[in-house]
Formats: sequence, C-alpha cells, structure tokens
Amino acid sequence: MNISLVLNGRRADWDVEPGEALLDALRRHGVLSVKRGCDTASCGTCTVLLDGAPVPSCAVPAPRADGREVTTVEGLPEAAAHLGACLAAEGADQCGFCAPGLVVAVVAMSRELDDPDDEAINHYLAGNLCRCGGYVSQTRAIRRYLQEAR
Amino acid sequence: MAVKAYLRPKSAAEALSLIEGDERAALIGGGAYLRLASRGYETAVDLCDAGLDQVRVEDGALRLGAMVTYRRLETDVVVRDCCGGLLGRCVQNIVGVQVRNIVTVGGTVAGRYAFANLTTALLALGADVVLERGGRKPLEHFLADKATARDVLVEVVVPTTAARCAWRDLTRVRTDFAVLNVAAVGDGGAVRVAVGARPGAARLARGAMQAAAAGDARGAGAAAAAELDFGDDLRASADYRRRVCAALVTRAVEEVLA
Amino acid sequence: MKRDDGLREVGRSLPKIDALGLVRGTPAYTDDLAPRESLCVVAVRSPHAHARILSVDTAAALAMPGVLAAFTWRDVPRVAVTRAGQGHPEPSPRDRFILDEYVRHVGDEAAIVAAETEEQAREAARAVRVEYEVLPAVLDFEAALDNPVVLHPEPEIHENFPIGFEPRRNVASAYSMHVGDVDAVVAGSEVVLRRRYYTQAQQHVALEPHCACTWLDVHGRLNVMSSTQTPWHVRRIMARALEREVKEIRVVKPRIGGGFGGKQMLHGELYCALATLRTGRPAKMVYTRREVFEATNTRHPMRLDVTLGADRDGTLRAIDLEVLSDTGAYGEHALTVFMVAGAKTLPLYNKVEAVRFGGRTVYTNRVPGGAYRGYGAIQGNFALESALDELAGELGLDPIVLREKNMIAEGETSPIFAIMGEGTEGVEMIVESCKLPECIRRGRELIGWDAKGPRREVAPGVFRGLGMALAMQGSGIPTIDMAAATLKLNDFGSFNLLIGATDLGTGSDTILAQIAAETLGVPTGDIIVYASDTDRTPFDTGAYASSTTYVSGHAVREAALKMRAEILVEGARSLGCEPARAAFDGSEVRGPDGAITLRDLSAKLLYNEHQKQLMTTGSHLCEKSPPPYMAAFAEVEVDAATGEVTLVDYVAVVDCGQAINPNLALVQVEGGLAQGIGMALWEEVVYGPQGHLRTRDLMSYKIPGREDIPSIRAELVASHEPSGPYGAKSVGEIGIDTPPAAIANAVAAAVGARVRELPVTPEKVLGALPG
Repeated sequence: MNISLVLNGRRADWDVEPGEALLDALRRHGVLSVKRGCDTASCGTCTVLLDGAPVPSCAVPAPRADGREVTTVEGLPEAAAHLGACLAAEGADQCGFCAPGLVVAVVAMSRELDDPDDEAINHYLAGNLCRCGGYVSQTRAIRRYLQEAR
Repeated sequence: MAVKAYLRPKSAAEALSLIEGDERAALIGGGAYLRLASRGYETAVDLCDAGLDQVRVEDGALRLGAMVTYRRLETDVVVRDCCGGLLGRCVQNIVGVQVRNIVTVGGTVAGRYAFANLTTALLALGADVVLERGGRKPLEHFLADKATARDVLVEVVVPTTAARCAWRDLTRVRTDFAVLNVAAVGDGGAVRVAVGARPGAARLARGAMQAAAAGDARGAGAAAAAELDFGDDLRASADYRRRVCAALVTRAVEEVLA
Repeated sequence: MKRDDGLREVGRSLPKIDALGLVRGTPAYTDDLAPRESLCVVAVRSPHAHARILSVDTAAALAMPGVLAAFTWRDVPRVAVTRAGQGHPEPSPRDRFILDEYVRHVGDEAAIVAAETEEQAREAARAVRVEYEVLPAVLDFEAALDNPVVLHPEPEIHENFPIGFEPRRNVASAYSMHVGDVDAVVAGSEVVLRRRYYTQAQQHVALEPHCACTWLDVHGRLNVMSSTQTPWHVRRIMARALEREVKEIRVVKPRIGGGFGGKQMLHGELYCALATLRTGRPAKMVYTRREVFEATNTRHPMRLDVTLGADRDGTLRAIDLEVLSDTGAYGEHALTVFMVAGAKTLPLYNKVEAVRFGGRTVYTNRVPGGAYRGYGAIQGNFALESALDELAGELGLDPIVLREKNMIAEGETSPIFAIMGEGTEGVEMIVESCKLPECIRRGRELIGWDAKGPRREVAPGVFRGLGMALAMQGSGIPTIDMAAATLKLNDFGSFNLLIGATDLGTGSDTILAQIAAETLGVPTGDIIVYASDTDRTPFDTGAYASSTTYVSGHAVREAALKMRAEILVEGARSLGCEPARAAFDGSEVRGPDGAITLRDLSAKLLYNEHQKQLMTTGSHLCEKSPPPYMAAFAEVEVDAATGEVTLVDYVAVVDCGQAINPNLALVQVEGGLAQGIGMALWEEVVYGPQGHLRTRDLMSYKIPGREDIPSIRAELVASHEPSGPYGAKSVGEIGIDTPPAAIANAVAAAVGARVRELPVTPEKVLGALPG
C-alpha cells in the first residue's frame, strides 16, 4: 500500500506492506541509521520521532506513519555531531549500535524537560539500553551536551 | 497469515463495523508488540484516527479515550490532577518513554494483560469501561467477561472522588513488568485495594478492603495474602508473591490511612 | 604536548576514531553493508530439545514465491567441526556439522531456506515440513554424566588433542591438577569451610544481533562479512566445514555492535555460504533476538564446590575447587572456560600449601555454552570470593584483612601459571605488576568501608551492607595468541595501519592507532586504520582473552619501530648523511647539515627520488599473560520484608598497567561491571520443563537499564607492566568478574542472607534470611 510521510523534512512516497513495521520500511528504503535490536520494543535502538514524539519504530505499523512526520538521526545532524562529540570526549561511545536511537531520544528529552538532573535523565532515557558501557559515562556526556546546547 | 489490509477508520462505530463479522480483522491499539503478533490477522484496523485520544473531566469523572497513551497519563495536567496522580505513577516505569508513547489505555484494558499496572490501578479506582456496542460497565465485570465479543473499547471512566491513592509494585530491573502490583485507594471511609500480576489478572482484595476500612493495615496485608490466588511464573513463585503481597498491601494501606 | 612520563599519544583519552560516524548512523554494520540484492537466509529451528530428523520435506517451501534454495542435513558436506572461534587446532571438541540428522536443543538448525525477501524466507521456513522422532532429553546438567541418553553418538566427532572428551558419557572435556597434598593440608587446618555454589547461564545481549553475509567476487572467491570477533578462525573453520581451501575464502569484520564473547563462535556464516555457493547470489542472515537467545550461546552454567582450609589467624592453607560445567548441546569453549574458572582465580591466593582444581564439562540439551567475557573467571570468582567471605565470618576477621594476608604480590608467582593454560599447559611467570594493595586502599576509601561499617539499618526493616571482592584476569593466551600489524607510509606523511585485530566497539582501533602514533612520534590523527580483513590485513587471532591491547599492541609497536628505522635510513639518504648521524622526531629527519620533514620525505620517496614504498610489519607472540587486578566494593540496600536488593554504589579500582586511553579503559571497566551486576542480580536464562527457553526476548530476559545502576565508580591505579606495550596490560574482561561475589557478600553483610546460587533474587534473599 502507498503511504506518504515527511521523512526528515522531506516528503517520501513509499510502498509498504500493510503488516510491516516502520523500522523495516525505513531500513528497506535505505534509512540505515535505524537499527533493529530486539523486535519487542524493549531496547530503544530503533527510536525515531513520530510527529516529534520518540517511539520504537519496530512497534509502529508503517501505515500509521501515513501523513505524519518521521525524524531519524539523519534528520538531526547537528545534535548528532554535538552529542557524538560529547560522548566521544567522555569515552562513553562504544559499539555505537545504540547511539542513533539514543541521539533521537536525547533530542526529544531536551525539548520536553528543562534542565533535567541525572535522575531525570536516567528516567527519561530508561528505554534506551546500552550493553557496552555502564551508563555513567554516557550520562556525564549527555549532561555536558544539555548544558552546552542550552 | 500475512496482513493484507491496513485500515484507519474515522470513528469507533466505523471500527466496529469493520471488525464485526470478520474474524480475520484485528484492532490495533498501541501496537507495541507488533512484530510478535503480526501473524494472527489479515486486516489491521488501527484506531489512531478514530478520535479516541481525548482526555476530559465530565460529571466528576475522568474520561480517558481508548487511544490515550501512557505518556499522556504521566504528562497531561488533567490526568495528573486526578486521583493523586496514581494513573501516571503506575505506568511511569514501563519500559521507556518510547513505549509509553505508543501503549494506550484501551489497548491495555481491552487486552486484559494480567501484568498491567494500569489495570490494577483502574480497578482500585472503581473505573468503568465504555464499549461501542456493549455500552458502559464496571471494569471489574469487563475483566471477568471472556474476551469473545467483537467490540470496540471507546473510553475508560474513572471516578475522581478518591482522596488518597497509593501505589506499590515490585520489579526485577526497574523497567520490567511487575512481580506483583498493588493499588490502594481511599474514598470517603472506604478503601479499595487491587492486586495484580499475581501473575493472574488484577483483582480486588475484598477482605483487605474491609480490614483497611477498619484502619488495620497489617490485617489488610494478611487478608490479601490469604484471599487471593498466586501462581508461579518466570518472575517469581506463588509463595514469594504471597509473602510480598502482605508486605506491599500493608504499606499501600498504611499510606492511604496515614 | 610533552608530558612528565615522556609519552605524547599513549595515556591520552582521545575520542574513538569511529565515534562521530557511528553516532550519525553511518551505515557500518554487516546488515547495513550487505549487498542490497542479498537473498535472505532463514533457519528452520527445532521445536524439540532432542530429536532425530526422520524426514524433511522442502517441496512446498521451494514452490513458494521468491524461494531459491533449501538445505537439509543430507544436502551439505558432513565434516565434524567446532564453531568455537579458537586457535588451530581448537581446544574444543569437533562435535558439530553444518546440519545434522539430530537436533540437540530447542532452536538447533534443522534446515535452511533462502529467498528474495526476509518475509518470503520466513514463510518458506514455516512451510518446511520436518518429521521428528522426539528423543528423551538431558536437561539437568547434574544428571548428565553417564546418563542413558547420549547426546553425541556420531562416529566422526573427535577431540583435536587430549581434552578429556568422552562423548559416550556425555562428557565434553575433563581436567584436574593439584599442587601439594590438598586432603592432608585440609585435614590439618584449624578451620575447614566447604560450600557449594551455582552460577547461571547468562546471555551476552550484544545490541546488534548476529549477522553475516556472503557473496562471490569477480574471481569467484567466497567473500564473507560477519559480526565476528575472530575473522581468521571463521575463515579456517568455514573452509574445513565446506571442504574448501582457506585461500578461497575472505572474511571481513565491519563495525560490530558488541560482542562480549558472543561473536567468538560461527553462526550464520556457513548457512549464507551454502546459499551463495548454491545460487551464486549474495546472501545474508540476520538473527532475530529470539534466535540470538535460542541459537547462539550462553555463559556456561557451573556448579562449584569449594573447600578452604585455614588457620585461626587467617592463614589460608589449602584451596580445593571442583567444578561441573554445563556446555549445553555442543562443546564450544567447554574445556577452556572451565579451566579458566581455576586458572584465573586460584593464583590470587598463591601462598597456600596445597591447591587442587578439577572437574568436567557435560553435554545437555540446552543452548550451547560459549565464550562470554570473564570466561570462567567470573564463575570461579563468585565461588572463591564468596567462600572467602564466609571464611572471614567464621574466623571473625574483616574480609579485607583476610584477603590482604593471603593475596599475591608483586615479585611473586603461582605454580598454577605454569600448570594451567587454556586447554594446554601454561607458562611460568613472575608477577611484575600487581597493585592490589593500592586498589584495596583506594576502594575502601571511596566506598567508605571504615566509616560505614559492614551493616546498618537505614529505615525500619531496611538495611545497608558492604561487600567486596578481588579479581584477576589475564592478558592474552601465552604461546598461542599472535598478532601482526603493518604500517605503510603514504605521500605527504600519513600512515596506513593495517591490523588483523578486531574492534568490537571497544575502541581498539583507536588504541592501536595511539600506540603506532606514539612509537612513530606523530599525531594519532595521521594514522589511518584498516582492520580485520583476512585478505588485506595481517593475521590476528582475534578479539578474545583480553588480548588486543597487550598482544596486538606489541605488534603495532614493532611495526612502528621498524618504520621509524626505515624513515631514518631514507631521511639520512635524502640528507646525504649516515643514518647514525640523523635523528627522526616524528615530524622531521634531522642530520648534521639540515633536515627534511616527513611530509616532504614521504612525497619524495613516492614521486621524485629513490622511489620506494616504505612498509613494515610487526608480529608478536604472546609469551606471558600478566594479569590485571581489581578490588571491588559494593554497597547494597536490602528490604527485609521483600528481599529486594538495591545496588546503592559500586566502586572498582583496577590495575591494568598503563592505560593507553584512560577513558576507553574506564568504560571497559564500567561496561564489564554493568554486565557483572546484571549477572549478580537479574539475568538468567530460564528453561521450561521440555527444554524450551522461557527467556527468549528482552521482555523476559532483563539486562540492567540506567536506573538500575545509578552509581558505578571506576578508577585506575598507576601501574606499569614491564612486558606490555608502553606498560599496558589488558582491561577488557576483568571488570565483569567481581559483582556476583561482591554483591552477594554485601547482601550477606546487610541482612545475614547468604545466597550461593546466582542470580541473587529477592526471593532467594527472603528465603535465606536467618530466623
């Protein structure tokens, strides 16, 4: 079936399967920053913004994106570069597989929360799992990013 | 069975007409377990355009449309001001913001998920459900029904008279489903206590409610542990749940009575 | 930038060289890079824990749209291999085939299909009809030995050298060793403590599921891209399994999304290769998360019996460790993981008069055991460090005092170093760097050991407790792990660094570039890294056994030293002086009468004068395996009414020698701790009564999230390992080892509940509460 969405600010007309997840449709259309981690909406790796709200794209039917805005990390280049630099400066980036989804979630958090402390950061990002680091360096990097971005 | 059609009806009535008489059609509420479940039906009927995402207070009751997300329960000021914020509190640790942005009130209640914190809280609050065809009925009755009738859950109606609300749950990691969850709600002289994830579906603990109304929190805990059924699953044994039930109900009731 | 230690690039927390690219989501992982026209390969998996395949009917599947190939055990070469990515010949039994007539765990491969799309392939897999004769299964590893049900009756399977392989008895491997007369010393000890501990199966949960793709290049060679930790072992094992020459296969590792040992086995590679060789088409296989749980590997569960003999003054006199390890359906890493349970724990207490280690690994109809960070050491550590705390309790000693009295020190050795290697004998070794005293001093200060005391009530019925544990690991496998590196000087002064080493996301490409830069005297930014390609980079055994910094780092340094010498020679020639009278400082070669910059020299060398390519290779064999050490301290809060344990604080102080990149070393420790904490408190692979996994997704198998471990504090102590590159030892694994024991010890301190079976769940804590 045909759907029309706004992907990272540009209109995209796609043919998707009625039973396809947005994650699979994105990857099939070459949006490869969105990673498949778990299939059960449990890991946060495939996070995208749907009309500005972070969602697990593995759990959003692709046809539901018809007429809506989808933002992936490709559409957030400045935040990605900036947060990436903060993560790298703290040594908090490891395998990188969770990173694009994390950037998307952090951007959403920075829009929703004013000046979150570590506890608020950890709570907002609880759905973004990381298996390489122990989160503490990542939290330091995110705090630094939020301070600098303000 | 692959999904062959994806429909986005404009109203609950239209949704009902699409699923009535079509065993191969299924409603999509939130969609959180899409990749797990996508093989059971041919026609997906998504309620996202059916106008069911309203939150309003009417006649002293909070009316939550079926497509209201968990995240709205946390962030919507109207919901936050009701029932001591219980509805937001009981879902705030579910997986993560992303999932709470898609999981809905209707999907949870209609799915009769036994582990769902929200159902336990709604039961303690004395909520009703409104069905497109079946009309309004108490949540407790709805949960007792077998999920056979083809119907569309339109909204959940929550009385806002509760004065004090307490929430207790126990999880492995913070974002996991509960090993056991407890809601206690003080309304006038009465206290309503619901216990879920035993791992069976949420139930009111009437003995505990009596003890609580008499001001006996410890007795309420003991009564709940005695009167409810508990089972084993991946997360815990029945014995453990029973012990923890006593402790959590006691604490929840203490908070309501304080 | 010149520092006190004279180092310029080593010891700096430089950003990972691939950081920005990965955060931006640049296509970099196998599934991102697989050819777009790849066939999708899907396995038909056994629904039974143990069964014989009577027939497989693929006709219906082959008739479906888009389906190009289907394979059963009758269609594929039958050569016994191990899928463990280990050296040649492997110390794991060759007990596996590409496909077999028998399936030995739920999720085992029964058949393979390949189709144009993933959905078509999955539909086709569902359409393959397999008729099984269901066999009784061995699900309890304590009942596996000499069970009438034998998992591996097939005649072709074998061990490559003696590892105690007795398949008729369901034994994958066995080993024993002793120093001194343990029974006599125990009998003569004033206090004897005997305890039994259990550790569980844990899943790696690398966020990138296992993925492989294959294609034929213009020369008809089989190209393999895989999320693997061991490209060379994959190539060698594939060649054997497919009955092809090694030279016909190329294996490349792109970026990979975490490994932790879980990608030190072959998974989809062979099935993709079958599809590509049969159809000529590129093929890929991307595991679902469920497949990762059901059909890759777990940490080997173990039963560990510890006997300690000690005198009342706290002198530890004897340690006896008897282990039964569950290797599941196949013996991947069976012997070596089991041996490490002793080899990388027992030397910590080297002053004992007698020590014994022994036991077996047995087959069961469960998901195969495999390599997982810690690799036996975490299992052994939980038992030994728990038992030491129990002994301290019996002796009325502070657990720290007991350890300080008995632990290994710089300048000392342990006979175990020479006796136990990984599958073979070990190597005698004097410990040249061991900062355990400093680690303990700093750790007890950070956690507040003396101020807080072991136990205090912070609210009615809520108690806090402190616990600690020591750990050691190794740095590579001596006389086996070997790595090589090549440096190529480019025009205008940059260098290509070609390494076989396998960066799993740890930042080892960055660290090795730092070592090259340090040795050459150039900025790390002038080093262009290309890695992990069996055609285009030199050999490396791979990323495992905490080897990369220590072993591959040496190779890089050797290559760079040779490059420096060549630059000096060519620079001197260009300046018209003797090399002995010239000096190279990284930016220019200076002679008595002038200087030439590296930039100019490199351009001249390729375009203008005495044209030649400077290219040097360093190669290093690991000759000893200096352990990194660590002292760890946990503070927990226990709710005595529910048994809930909250980890309040975790402090880890590590001696890893000179950290090449301190930030990246610290995040190794922090990440290891997080996985170890997961194992201590929550993670557990659980089976149903028929051998079906009850934990096969991330809803049922819970790894720690960021709210579960709010405070991890890791520090490195100043240390220098003389045998390491720039004084470095390893740091990749040691972080994971301590949490199970330290947390169990803290819980016991808080409420007196001693949990000897991991994970330490609220239910077990409640059950173990005294009174």
